[in-house]
Amino acid sequence: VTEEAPVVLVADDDPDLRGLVVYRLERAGYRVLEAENGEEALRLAREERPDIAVLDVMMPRLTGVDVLRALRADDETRDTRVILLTAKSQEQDVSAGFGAGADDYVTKPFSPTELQARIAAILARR
Amino acid sequence: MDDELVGIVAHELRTPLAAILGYVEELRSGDPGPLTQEQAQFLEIVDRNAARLLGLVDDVVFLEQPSLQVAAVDLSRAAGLEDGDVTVEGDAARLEQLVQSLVSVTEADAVRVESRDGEAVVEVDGTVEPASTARARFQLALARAIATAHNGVVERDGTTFRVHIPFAQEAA
Repeated sequence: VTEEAPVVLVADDDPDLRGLVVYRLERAGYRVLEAENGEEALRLAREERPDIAVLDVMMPRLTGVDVLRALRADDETRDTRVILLTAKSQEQDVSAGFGAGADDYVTKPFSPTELQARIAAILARR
Repeated sequence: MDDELVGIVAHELRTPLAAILGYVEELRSGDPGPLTQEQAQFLEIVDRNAARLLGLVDDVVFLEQPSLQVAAVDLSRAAGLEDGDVTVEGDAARLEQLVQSLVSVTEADAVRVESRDGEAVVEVDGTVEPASTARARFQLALARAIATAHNGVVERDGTTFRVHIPFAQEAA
């Protein structure tokens, strides 16, 4: 097996915020997959098996927490690491996210550098 | 505004602010390319103002739906003084904001914190009466809302404000 860059799935329906995360992670050397809604995120996660998924909670079709639950319920995708992006006002989303098995969460507005550091920390402890 | 609408409006305001703050952080990091000194200075101003706007969104949400992150708070420290021995249960950041707001609107030159009759009292000795500007009125409304959320009150005597905060918060 050759050493390849870890693959990160970034799912957010806001193209500007998604672009910000993609920019930061590509600069950091990751291979990045993009999804603009929860359905697309789940499909990409199943097909491409990213090492980690950054999921916005408030997405159309399936929320980030819905996608997380689906990933955890399937033996094939159970081990995908997940960071949720939540709005500050959605504290119930944070507890629902941890209940569903999220590895971490980041509150919007977030520092792209901090998000990158958290991704690195989660990937390092596997 | 009803609670749900406040949450939606706050979310709608924070999302573009998150994009502004995030892209400004990237630009300031120098990764997308080197900045002139003037560009860096202007971006610092954009960053500061976007952060201020974000703070105002949080404050408006607080006025509509007060919520506290309660812990033991050294009130002297929250008031910007040296550490003291008057401790209340409250939200440190909001209590700090309460005192700062009163200091700001009265251009206060002295703040005292003491324990009196089973409650904590913060006295802000202002040098001027609060102006009737929108900014001063907003800060006063915020100060009162923060006191109320701590089951306390703000009293005014000329240019002096006294904030009374009970030591223990009754369970709601």
